[in-house]
Amino acid sequence: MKLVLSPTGGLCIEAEVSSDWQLLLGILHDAQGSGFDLASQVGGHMNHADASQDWEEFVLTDLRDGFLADLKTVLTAVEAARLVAADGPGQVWIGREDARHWYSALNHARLALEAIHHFGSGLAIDPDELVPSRLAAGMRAHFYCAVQSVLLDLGLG
Amino acid sequence: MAATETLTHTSEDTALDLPWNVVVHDDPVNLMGYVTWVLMKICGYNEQEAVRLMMQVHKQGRSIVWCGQREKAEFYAQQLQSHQLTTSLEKAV
Repeated sequence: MKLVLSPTGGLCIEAEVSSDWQLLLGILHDAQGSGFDLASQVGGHMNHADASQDWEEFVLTDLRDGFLADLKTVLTAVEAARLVAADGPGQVWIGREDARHWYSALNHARLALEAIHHFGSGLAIDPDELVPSRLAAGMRAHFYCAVQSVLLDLGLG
Repeated sequence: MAATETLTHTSEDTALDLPWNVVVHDDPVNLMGYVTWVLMKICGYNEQEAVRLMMQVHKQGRSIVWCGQREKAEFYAQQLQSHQLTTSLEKAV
């Protein structure tokens, strides 16, 4: 897997082998795994008695719809590129207009992984101490974070 | 026959509506540069103020990033949550 900056200010993710496509699709699996509800998570400190009565009904619904739309943007781009590449070497282009959707989806996945594995802010991973599934999750979180950092440097619009 | 006397007592009680705080809470995932960018974008702060508030979140676990009218506080909270920052509302004391 390679990350290449495009001349137009976007980002190109170059998948080299089949497992790279699985890693990219992992963004969606991680974000939606284990019934993680990001909308509830980001409002976890809300005292709903203090908020408007319709907060739960309207705001949470809007938040869930927005997060899901970001995930769908990523899924659509990855699936289309994977189809063209026939699961082999290929490229996913992230234009500046889609950078925020990608950032959101990657953040969603990292928050979901954090809720399960509690890596902490350092993401310190000791391969000798982690069970394989947790080690793999930590590596994915590292990858997602690396892509996010590049997107942030490029500007989220 | 005694005349009926009507007494009318009128009282007025006025209380100012308390302002509301929009509070951003720390989490181990959101990147510091991203939190700064969101505070600039949503709350309209310049970079220096956004960095100051971001560092307060990072070091103290939370920061009051805006205070004022309830409806606007709810709007900011919703916008910050839509950018995946853990955000709550509380009455200012």
